[in-house]
Parts: sequence; structure tokens; C-alpha cells
Amino acid sequence: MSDAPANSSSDNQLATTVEVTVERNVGKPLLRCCFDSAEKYVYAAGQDRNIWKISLSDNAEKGEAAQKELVTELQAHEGWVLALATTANGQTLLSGGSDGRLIWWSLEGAQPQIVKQVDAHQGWIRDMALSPDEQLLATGGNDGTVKIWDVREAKLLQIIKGHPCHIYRLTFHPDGKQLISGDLTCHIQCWDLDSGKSLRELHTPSLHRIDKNHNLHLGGTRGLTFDESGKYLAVSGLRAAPNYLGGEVQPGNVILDFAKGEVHKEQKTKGNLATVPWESFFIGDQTLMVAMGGKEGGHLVFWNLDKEDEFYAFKLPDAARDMAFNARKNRIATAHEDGKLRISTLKIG
Amino acid sequence: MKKNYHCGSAEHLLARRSFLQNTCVAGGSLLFSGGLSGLASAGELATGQKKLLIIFLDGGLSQLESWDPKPGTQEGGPFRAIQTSVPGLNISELLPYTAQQMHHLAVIRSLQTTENDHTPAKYLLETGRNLKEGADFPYLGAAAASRLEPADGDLPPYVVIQTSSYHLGHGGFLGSRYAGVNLVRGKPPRNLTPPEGLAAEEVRRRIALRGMLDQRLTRSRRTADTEAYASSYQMAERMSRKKDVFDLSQEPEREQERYGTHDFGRHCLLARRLLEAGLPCIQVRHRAYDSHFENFNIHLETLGEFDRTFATLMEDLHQRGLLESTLVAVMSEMGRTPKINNQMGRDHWTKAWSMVLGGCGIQAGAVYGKTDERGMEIVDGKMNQADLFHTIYSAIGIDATESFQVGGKDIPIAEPVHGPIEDLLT
Repeated sequence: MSDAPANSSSDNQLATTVEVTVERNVGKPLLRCCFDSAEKYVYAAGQDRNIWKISLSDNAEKGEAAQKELVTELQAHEGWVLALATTANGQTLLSGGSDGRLIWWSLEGAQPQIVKQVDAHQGWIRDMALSPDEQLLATGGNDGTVKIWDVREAKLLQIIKGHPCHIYRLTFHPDGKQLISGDLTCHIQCWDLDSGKSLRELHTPSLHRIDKNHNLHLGGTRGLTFDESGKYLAVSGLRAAPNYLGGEVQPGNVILDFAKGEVHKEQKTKGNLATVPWESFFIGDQTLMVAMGGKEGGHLVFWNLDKEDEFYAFKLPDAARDMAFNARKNRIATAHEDGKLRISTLKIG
Repeated sequence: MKKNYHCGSAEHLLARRSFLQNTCVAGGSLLFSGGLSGLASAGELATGQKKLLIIFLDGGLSQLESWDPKPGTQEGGPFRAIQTSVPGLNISELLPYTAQQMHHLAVIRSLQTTENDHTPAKYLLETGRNLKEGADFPYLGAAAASRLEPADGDLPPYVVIQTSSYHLGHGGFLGSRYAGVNLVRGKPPRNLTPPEGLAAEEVRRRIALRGMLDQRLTRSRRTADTEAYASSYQMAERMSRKKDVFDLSQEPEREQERYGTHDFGRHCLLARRLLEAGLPCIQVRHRAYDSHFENFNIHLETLGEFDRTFATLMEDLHQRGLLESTLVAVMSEMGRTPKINNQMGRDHWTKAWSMVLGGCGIQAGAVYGKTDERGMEIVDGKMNQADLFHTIYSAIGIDATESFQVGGKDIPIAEPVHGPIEDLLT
């Protein structure tokens, strides 16, 4: 980031600070992570195909051997685990993988136990999302379908078809009546959950193009998240790719006014950071936070939704590949390529 | 041994290849107006003649996402391995159609080469030799064409089918006579049809006049250039009789759909038609394997396109009896690192990588060489590009211990000391 210090907050925004407070070394490059509801553990998926249950207990700080005891390996998938979620009641962990398998894990015993597993999709499950009331789970992936599941009964309720290519991201509208899905071409579909019909399609053309030289798609919906009121939908992706194959890509967000279906703001990083957005969340109704990792390392980047450039960027010790918030949104878990899970505390204002 | 007039001058670079691409054929309208199909005489030309089809995957195919998967390891990536038509042989799940054709192919899992950058690596895998100043080796297709060219072929002996004009199938010291004719996006050389309104008799008279002038010039100033020009005109004239072979619209729509309605599909369908028509050496290039970034998404796209098309081509070559005389090589200039970088990419890797051969002279279903469980090291059957070239030449009946004669010097067809891998040969 050439135009701003790595860890900086501009004067006209609320003071924002991020501090890495916990570091756990799993020893395997990590891909995904999520908190359990009690914040005692983080579940992280590794490049070795396993899920790792990582204790956040304070007495786990000392020594490598002690740390290893606080990391438990869960084997079940025959591919990378690309989607992870826990329920707020603390009873269930859900995992979806590149093997197309969807697994329900019970968290009620000392160690997670598989309750049910289904071959849910043809090809990768790239993302999953829980409805606001956590009654429903949506999954989507390379077969271009969205599937809606009853979380408690572990039962398929609905299959929604309509994407011609890989689905990258899913999110529920805060009203719980619509599901939003974004694909490789950054076409955003809005589905009515009652009927399974498409209500409309939103476009974010700045985040996708075809590289005619290589005949490759340059795109992918990398982040998809609503603000708390459901007024704005943030779509994160790659706004430019001077050298796609070489990783010279630049992240961007498109803030959509969801009611109007119009672009509210196109956002970029000040220095055209060469990195990839992997996950995004709103903090309140004004601040979008995106976790990034790539050629220029790892960052947590904060935008005001009305501004083109970020107001704060925190440089992480390594490239982040996923981010999860706790319920109060003051702790951030990040999964890293160097095999470490990091917990950061966030203070705004 | 074919004679070689090449003196190394720059003028040699202008010859048949560029001529075929850039000039018109005034003659021949009387010959193709009857709609003589290139395929009509294909069987006659194809019978017994050895051929070489190179599918070059530009940028460096990941061996872990193709021929040597390592599922369940930290380096293995997100894809699973699947069974193939050869019992005990598994390849990446990205190649489900190709998996059903593996009984026609042999897998090499133990290539080790030395060049880690694209330009020298491509030279190495295209010529079998290291790129050195002053060296001017012919590409594999050109070298093979010089030995496989039929005496009376109506088509150029070597073509390169691709989406750009970047790569030209260099003829090296063999000169432009054997350089690959570049068929950009599968289009035939331009101007195979004479100018509109030119009467057949006029065409005939022009050809006769040009022939007379050629003979006069040759008598007084015979050089490699003049011979190349004359041969280029003659080839262009003969090609015009076969122009239909380049016309994919003559294929039923169902056939075009089987191959895929994308460039690579069209290019492989064209390759099949050209092989049937007796063209001895073809290279089809497929792009975008240099996946330093998002290796897995990129291989999903590229191999998703490659797989069905390649499997269809193999099936057709087998069904039509062409595999018995055609060696198919699926090559790259390098492999990709087992280690996954922080951009979900794989970088260049030459220590232990893979490719496949199949068809003419190749032991179908063979698996040669082995890497360790993470794909980091070769544990059995290490071979390099020289061994590979000897094997390919041997399979198509070329004695690679013989030499090209260049400026009074003998230059071995393939790197001496090395030899073919007998386990890969029938």
C-alpha cells in the first residue's frame, strides 16, 4: 500500500485499531475459519483436508507441545473444506468441501461427532450461509445450484437453479426472505425463498471480464455481505488484473443500493494493493471490512460505504485466506497461509 | 537424408511458411471447383504413414491436477483422484473423460528438466536441446516432418494450430521448408482461393509462366531460397486442391459439438481432419496453464475445456484406425510446484513432472516413473527431455542416432548418449 501507512486510520473517520492478540500454529496452511458461539474454539480448515478444532483458552499460550494439545484434528472430507459455519446455539458445526460433501457435526460432546453427511453438490461446495433465524442453510458451488437445507433436520428443502457458472458466495438478506448468490461472472441473483424464483439480477461489471488472450474469466464474487439494515449489499472482487496468471490483481468493492438495485459506490484500495479479497463483513451500517491475502501479504481493510478509498488498513503478519467475526464483532479470526490462526481485537471509536 | 541448402542467412527465414500464410495461389481454381474433399483421399494417404500430433499445454500444466495427483497431502490441492480405464492407474478428477481413454495412453511421471523459465524451457521441450547462443535446432514437429513428409503430399508437412501467431514451429537449421505453418484460430493459409473473376485458363497460363521463369532462374542461380520459393508455390498450388480439409463447416454439427464449440475443440477437430488427410506433423496449442495465481480455479477452466475435447479426439483417432500410425504427445514446457503459494497458485517446477504419450509405437496403459508421496522428488525412472525425444522418435520410426547434415557438419537428431525408454515402447 504505497499511499498510506500499512496500519493507519485517516483523520476524518472514527479511530480504528486492530491488534493481534492470539496466535495458534496448526502447522498446515489454513483456508477457512469460524468461531464457536461461546468463543472457546475456532474451527479452521486446512490444506491437508482436515478441520482443526483450535482452543482459545488463555492457558494455551505456553510452549509448542502445549499448543498442539489444544488443536484437534477432524477428518471427514476427501477434498478441501471450503465452507464452515457454526450455529449460535453452539450445537452444530457445518462443513462443505471440494468433494461436494456437506457434513453436520454435533458439538455437544467432548469432541465433534458426525451426525449426517450427504453428497450435496456435483463438484465443490464453495460457500454456505445460515439464515438470520438459523433455521435454514444455503449451500452453493461449482454445479451452479443453490440448495436450501433444514438445519435441525439435516434435510434438503429446495434446489434453486439459475447460475450458468460456479457460485462463489451466498448471503441471506437480514429480513430472512431473500437469498443472494454471486457467481464467477459477478452476476448477483436475488432469490425469493418461498418460491425459489429469481426476483432480479444485479450486475457488477467492474468486477468481471474475459481475458481474451488466455480465454479465462477474471472475476469471482469474493465477498457478499449486507449491512445490518439490509439497505446496502457489498460485493467484493477483483477490479483489475494487469497480470492475472501472475497474481497482479487489484481488489475492489461494489456497494449496491439494494432497494434501488443501483451502484452506490465503487471502491478500491488507495495504492491498488495486489491482493485478493477473501471475506467481507459490515460493522454496523457504515463500515465495510474485508480480509485480504495475496502477493502483497495479508490485510484487514476498512471502508466507509460512501467513500472510494479505505480509511484504515491493518497489515497482518501473513496472507489471510478467510476471516470470521465473533457475535459481538470485536474479535476477528483469520486463517493464514503460514499455518497459523490469528485472533485480533478490534476497536472502533 | 534430405539435402539442406541452409546457409544460416536471415533470408532463409522468408520462405515457404510465410509464403503460404501471406500470398495467394493464383492457380488451382480448376482443381477444386469440383469440391474434391480433402478427406476423400485421406485414407490413401494415411495408410501406413507415421504421424505425430503434439498437444502443447502452454505455460506448464500442473502434474498434480492431471497425471500425478497426490490427494490427501498438504500439496495435493482440493481435487480427488479418479480411476481410469487402466486398472490401478488414477488421475485427477479434472479429467473424467480422458480417464476413460487412458488405455490408449502411457503416463510418464518422472520427467526432470533443467530450465525453469518459459522461453528456455519451451525451447528445451520443443527441440530437446538447451537454448544456447548460435544454436538453431528445429522444433520437434519440424524435425519429425523432415523424416515423415510424404513424397507427394498436398499439405504442408507441419502445421501449428493455435489462437495467436506468437509461436511459429521453428524449422531451425532445417530451414523454412519444415517450419510449422501457423493456422491461427484454425484458419487455413490465406488466399487458397484465386481472385474472383480469374478464369481457369488464365490461372493455368500464369502457373505455366511462373514455372518457366522458375526453371530459368534455377538454371543460373540455384539456391536454397529459389528452391524454397519454387517448392512453396508448388505446395500452395497443391494445397488449393485440399482447401476443403480446413473447412470445419463440412463436419456435421453433432461432430462439432462433440469436440466443443470453443477454439480448442475446433482446433482438435481440424487436427483430426488434417491427420486423416495425410498431414504428418501437427501441433495444437492450448493456453493459460501458467497458474501462479489461483491454480485450482484456472485448471478447472483450462482442463474443463481440454478434457472432453482431448478424449473425443483420442476416441476418434482410435475408432478411425489412426492411432496405430499416429503418436500423440501431451506436453508442456514444465510442471508446477507441489507447494501451493500464498496466492493459491503453483509456480514453475522442473524437478519431477509428468506428461503422456499414446498411439503409434507407445505401450498403451503404461505408467513410467514414480514420485514420492508429496510429489517433491522422483523415486523411480528419472528421465529428461533427451530421453523423451529419443522415445518419441523411436516410436514413429525415426532413428534418432542418425544425424542431420548442416553446413558439412553432422548434428545428431536427438541428444547423443541418451536413448529411448524401452518400457514406454511397444
